[in-house]
Amino acid sequence: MRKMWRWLKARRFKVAVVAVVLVLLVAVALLQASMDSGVSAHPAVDQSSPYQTGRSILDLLGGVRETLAAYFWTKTDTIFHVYYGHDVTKEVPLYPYYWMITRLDPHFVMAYYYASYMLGEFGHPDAGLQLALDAVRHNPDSALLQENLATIYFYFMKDPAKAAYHGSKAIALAKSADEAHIYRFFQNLVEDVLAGKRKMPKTIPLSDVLRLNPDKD
Amino acid sequence: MNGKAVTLEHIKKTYRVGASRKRRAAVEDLSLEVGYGGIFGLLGPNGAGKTTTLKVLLGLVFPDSGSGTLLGTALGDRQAHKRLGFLPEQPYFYGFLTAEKGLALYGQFFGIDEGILQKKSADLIEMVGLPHDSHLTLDKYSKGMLQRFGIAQALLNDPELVVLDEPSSGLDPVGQKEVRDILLQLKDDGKTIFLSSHQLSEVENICDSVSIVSAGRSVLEGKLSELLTVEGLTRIVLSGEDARAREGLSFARSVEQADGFTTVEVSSGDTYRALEASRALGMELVSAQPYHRSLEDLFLETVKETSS
Amino acid sequence: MRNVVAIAVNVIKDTARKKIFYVVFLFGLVVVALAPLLPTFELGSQASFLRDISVSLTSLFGVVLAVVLSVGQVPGEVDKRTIYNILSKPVSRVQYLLGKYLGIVVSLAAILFVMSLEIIVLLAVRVQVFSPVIFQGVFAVFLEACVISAFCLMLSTFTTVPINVFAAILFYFVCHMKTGFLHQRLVAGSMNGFLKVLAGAFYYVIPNLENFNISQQVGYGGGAGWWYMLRVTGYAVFFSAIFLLIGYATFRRKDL
Repeated sequence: MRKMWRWLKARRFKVAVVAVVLVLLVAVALLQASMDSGVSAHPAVDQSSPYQTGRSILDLLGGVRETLAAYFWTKTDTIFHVYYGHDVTKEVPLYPYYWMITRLDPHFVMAYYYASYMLGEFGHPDAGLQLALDAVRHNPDSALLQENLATIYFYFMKDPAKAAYHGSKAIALAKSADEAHIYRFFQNLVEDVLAGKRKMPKTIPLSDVLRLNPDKD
Repeated sequence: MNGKAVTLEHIKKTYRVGASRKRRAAVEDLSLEVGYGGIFGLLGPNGAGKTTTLKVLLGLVFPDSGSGTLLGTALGDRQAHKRLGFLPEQPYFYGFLTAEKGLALYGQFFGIDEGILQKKSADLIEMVGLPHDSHLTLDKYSKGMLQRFGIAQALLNDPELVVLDEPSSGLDPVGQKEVRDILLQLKDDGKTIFLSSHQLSEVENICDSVSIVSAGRSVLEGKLSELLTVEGLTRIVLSGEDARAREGLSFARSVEQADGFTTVEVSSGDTYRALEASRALGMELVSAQPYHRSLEDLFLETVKETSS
Repeated sequence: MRNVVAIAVNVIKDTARKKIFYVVFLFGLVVVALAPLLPTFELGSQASFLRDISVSLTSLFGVVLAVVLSVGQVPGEVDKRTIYNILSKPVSRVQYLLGKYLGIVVSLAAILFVMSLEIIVLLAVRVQVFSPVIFQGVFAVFLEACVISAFCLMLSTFTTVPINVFAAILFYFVCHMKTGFLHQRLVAGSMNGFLKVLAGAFYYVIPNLENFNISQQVGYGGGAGWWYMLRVTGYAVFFSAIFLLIGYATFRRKDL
């Protein structure tokens, strides 16, 4: 015991530094726990979101533009879930972010997907169509963007023929049978409308799921 | 003042060098003492440990072992620094400051009142011979001007002890003379000066005592006059180059004739005999004094002995 | 205290001399002048978007500024040997370090304050909105910059500038990225006890710089509450103190 005391005494400055640092670490841990438990800067990400969003963090590893685009993308996720209660009818304020992302990274498919449709949803169908065409130009191999273009032609431009053309392209470009199967739902609707078996839907579906499968409950 | 201005006892300082991080001694076992008043010179070849010794003294470097005092307080005590002035070797200062602003900054550390500081700064700038251009920043100064500014900032707090590392470095002969005069004036004012220098002529001209450092140790220390005096020898200088001098002064250790003078070295006991002999030869006496060797000779001899 | 302030004032003068202040000011003038040329979005709240993005960009700028002002402080002075003229005077090493940090913090505060004024003007010009909540967002940026500066100053007492810069970048990413990942998966999740303790220790010991990111509250939520701001200020102060203490512990006996 005495030996230990002498050892400590010989290093009293270092011991004092360690002690103070430990006390400060406890203090910051308590503050952090307090901030985590209360309403704070970053409420929990909604686990029920149908699309994985955290994945874009991996994008932070490459390219300044891609990095910035990914940064804006993660922002939209938090804003949508925290400030707009996952309500797609209220997500209009997110449009600037999606637009910015498409400027930064023309290969950011999801941003084009949301932004072009939002333009149509909220009264700017021509602008939405242009953005969707841009998207396809930059990403000709994207099945999702072909599908996106098809839905815009169908719901906003009321042109089922063009919708059918792009819908079939989406199915052809689909990377898996499951993906093609999803696009098939919408293509069936379009073909039914073209064949006169069904009327063009009057309401424009707002959610992604309903857009591709308007018959889904 | 009682006590010593500086004492260093068995100071040892090693550094890790090279890829193998082997320890190399910069100062091996150095002890020295500097009394109050007078000018003390620290001499040594390159790598002897002079700068490391100064840094240990000033708390810039921490010795592995040994102890010391500075102005009566233990090494590391910041209180002593209030009474200390320091000029590092080839000093650098904040380039964006002017001389006045630089002195104002350093003066703040001593708690000198602003009004007094302004007057002091003006006096010091005048004393060291710096231009009075208040727009000229220190980054535009020549090496010599920086050295002068360095001396000014070392004297700002009217220190009891002034530590100078190569004070004449970068100065022209006129500048060197001016520095010499400043140091002698400081000595007359009762200050203690501790200087490290390579310029042996400068040290020989102004230092009262020296310590010669070699391979990290103090190998010779003492009053300069005593160290340079060769016991038992007298040097007599006579006017003229009389050919009979060699014969008439054959008992002398050496007789050399050059440039119109005859220089005779005799044992102290034969001084009067030599004077009589030279009078008999009709040669006029110029000077007769105990024989002094030059500091350069002493330095080289000491360092050679140490290295062998 | 006098010595600390004298050194701090010297740091501020040095920063001003480096024209960083003027670059920021000019940048702001250019941004405000170009404000009418910014794109108009067909949809969305421009004010919210601009508030959010301005604070986010200021955050990035603040981090760069913090690193630039801090990394070279001690190594630069040791290399140039200007430190000898300071530490040979009755200035202790702790006063020296605190003076440097205070100078950096004041410089950061001044620059970021000017930037927040520029954002306010930009919003007023572009969207005719007055948003004093911007000051709160930039204050949080300032707190983050203070923590990063303290970290860089700590490293500068024993590393070179390039290593310090690299470490600062790594520090920034780790302290921003680890939050959601660690807290969700390990601390609140279903790992075994030992790993949870380890993850918890890791989570709490490393500064969570995301705490200072309130750009979304500023943009969309009307700002963060005073209680949150108080805690996050304490968080910044404590972590800065930790880094400065460690820095002093290494600097205290460093051979110069």
